[in-house]
Amino acid sequence: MSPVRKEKLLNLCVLIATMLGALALRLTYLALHPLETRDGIGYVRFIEKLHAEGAAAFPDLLQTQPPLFVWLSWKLTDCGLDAATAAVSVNIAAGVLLLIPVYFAGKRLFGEVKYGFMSSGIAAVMPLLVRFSCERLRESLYLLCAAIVLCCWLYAVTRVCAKRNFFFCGLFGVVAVFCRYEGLELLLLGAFALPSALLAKPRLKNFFFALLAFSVGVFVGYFVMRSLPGMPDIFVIFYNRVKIFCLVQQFKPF
Amino acid sequence: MLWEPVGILFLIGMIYFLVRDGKKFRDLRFWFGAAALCAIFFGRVYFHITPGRYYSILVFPALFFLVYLLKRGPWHFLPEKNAKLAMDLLFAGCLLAGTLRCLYYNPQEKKIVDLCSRIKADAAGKSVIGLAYTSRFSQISYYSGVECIAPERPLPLSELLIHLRGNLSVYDGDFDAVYWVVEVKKNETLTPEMLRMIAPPERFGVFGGEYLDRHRKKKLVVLRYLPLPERQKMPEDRGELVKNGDFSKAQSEKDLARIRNDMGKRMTRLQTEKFVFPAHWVIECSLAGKNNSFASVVERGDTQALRVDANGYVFCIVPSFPVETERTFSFHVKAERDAVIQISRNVRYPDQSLGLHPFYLLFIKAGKERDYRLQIPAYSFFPFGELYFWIQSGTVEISDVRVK
Repeated sequence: MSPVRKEKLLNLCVLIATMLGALALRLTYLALHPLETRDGIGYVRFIEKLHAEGAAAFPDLLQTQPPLFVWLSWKLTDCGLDAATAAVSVNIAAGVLLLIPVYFAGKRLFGEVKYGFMSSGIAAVMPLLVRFSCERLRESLYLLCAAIVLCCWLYAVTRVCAKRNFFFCGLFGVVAVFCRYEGLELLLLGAFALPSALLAKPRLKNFFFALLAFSVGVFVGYFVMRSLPGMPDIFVIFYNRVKIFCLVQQFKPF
Repeated sequence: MLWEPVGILFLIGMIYFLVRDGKKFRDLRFWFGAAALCAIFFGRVYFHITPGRYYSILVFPALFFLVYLLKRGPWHFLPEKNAKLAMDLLFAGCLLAGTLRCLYYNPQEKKIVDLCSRIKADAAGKSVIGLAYTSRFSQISYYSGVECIAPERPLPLSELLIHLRGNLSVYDGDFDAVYWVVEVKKNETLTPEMLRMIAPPERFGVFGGEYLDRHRKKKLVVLRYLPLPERQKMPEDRGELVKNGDFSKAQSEKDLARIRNDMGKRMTRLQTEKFVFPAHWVIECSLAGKNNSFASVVERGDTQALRVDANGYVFCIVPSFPVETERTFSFHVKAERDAVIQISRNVRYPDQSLGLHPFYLLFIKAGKERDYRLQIPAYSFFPFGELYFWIQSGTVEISDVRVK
């Protein structure tokens, strides 16, 4: 085995060990904190209702909320898990997987593998991230999407496999929007990174392909999400939200 | 939102980055990153997004500035060997502190879950309702399996007890057990004598209680009332009608047009459907997103009733009446949909401060009709009482509102 390959394998082992440590810490946290949060209970009830009534209950339950977290948890209940366990499983998995993009982003940002491990190590024990992983809320899944977008963004603006990374920026930006509305700012972040493609020659060609890759990513992301069985349309949900937002703002001008 | 030590290291890392890395100002990507960070932060401030978890994305800048501090911290003042050691020690310290923080827990959480399990066992096979005067009502409801209704604002324990006296019979005939879940502060006392003044101990008492925190500053107390199987018959003399208590007088066309314009923006059905609001009464609704609520006076044979369809809070303020001495307030309710009515009272204290207190929580099942009779304690320092029918959900018809 070549030394480079050996080093890569070692890095992989360290990353897996970090993830296993993060998993153990999250499971311990879960055992020590049996009381679910108020909002978390709301989501558990949504999932229970979806499990009982099927996809037809979606429009009533989630008129204004992006549905990915509830959808994933609901699908896990079909595998025999109860709603609370399904929801926390999604979040713990997301919380542990988050370490991968954080590792790559740290490596890219600071230029050394060591700092990638430092970043993922701190993310593994950061109290806020551990808490989000153990609550039945959308944060953990959203932060995973955000970490992937930020990581791809970093690689894209520093022109490492830019087209592929622009594609993933678009794709995971849309997945993030299906998770939380704040995902829109991740999409914008990806879109605003496009001019960085102009920094390398041939400028226009680079920009064109970056734009194309990003747009294809957005469309693929949207159609993949919509093709999931029972997934409601984010545009309908978004429309409901905007309608209510306008209604409320009319009376509370800021 | 960020755990304080992480937040402090984040700030130090950011300041250190701004002071130390001069080259960055020439890089366009730095400005883009800074603008994105500012947009993320101030965007939320602009839209009044206050809960901490909505700022969760800021965990990434915090994380990377922390790693930046580890990498480029002021280690150059130290010999090379010690610099590496200092960096490793700070990193190990961060890992240890984070892990220990995650392992710090509140032992009372488990006890609260156990308390809920005791309620669940007690309520098994019975028709019960929980009245949760605590922000934890959804947790109590979830873990105990008891349907809980909660007021829209907290109520001091002393005020709750004053108003429960003589009024527990409103739950007779409808439930096998009623649980009040209240948060009691360290300086508030709850003695058996206080409870005995409300109802006999075999029917009303403390079911259980647990402290909410390890420092024992707040306690969650569960009171249980075992209602009588039959409702007591209402006395013939129920007093006189409050002003327009039979809803016979309507507001003028001019007022209705104004209401259609103002409230119609929130309760949009007021713009499309014909409605009549009663004279002397004030009807309002919450600003919450749901806007299908509706209210109108309707004819029921020879009499009139105020019909409220609530999808979001709708409150109907009863014309004020004197409360220098104890009064008896009675009304008739018919529910078309399962309804939760909170009877609230405006209270002015001797120091002139005002409080709106939700005293009674009533749950009426669909299809049921009920006559309610409530004792309103006297407030010598606030001669006039203003009561609110605060309809949290459901469709109800209120009629024959009297006071004695």
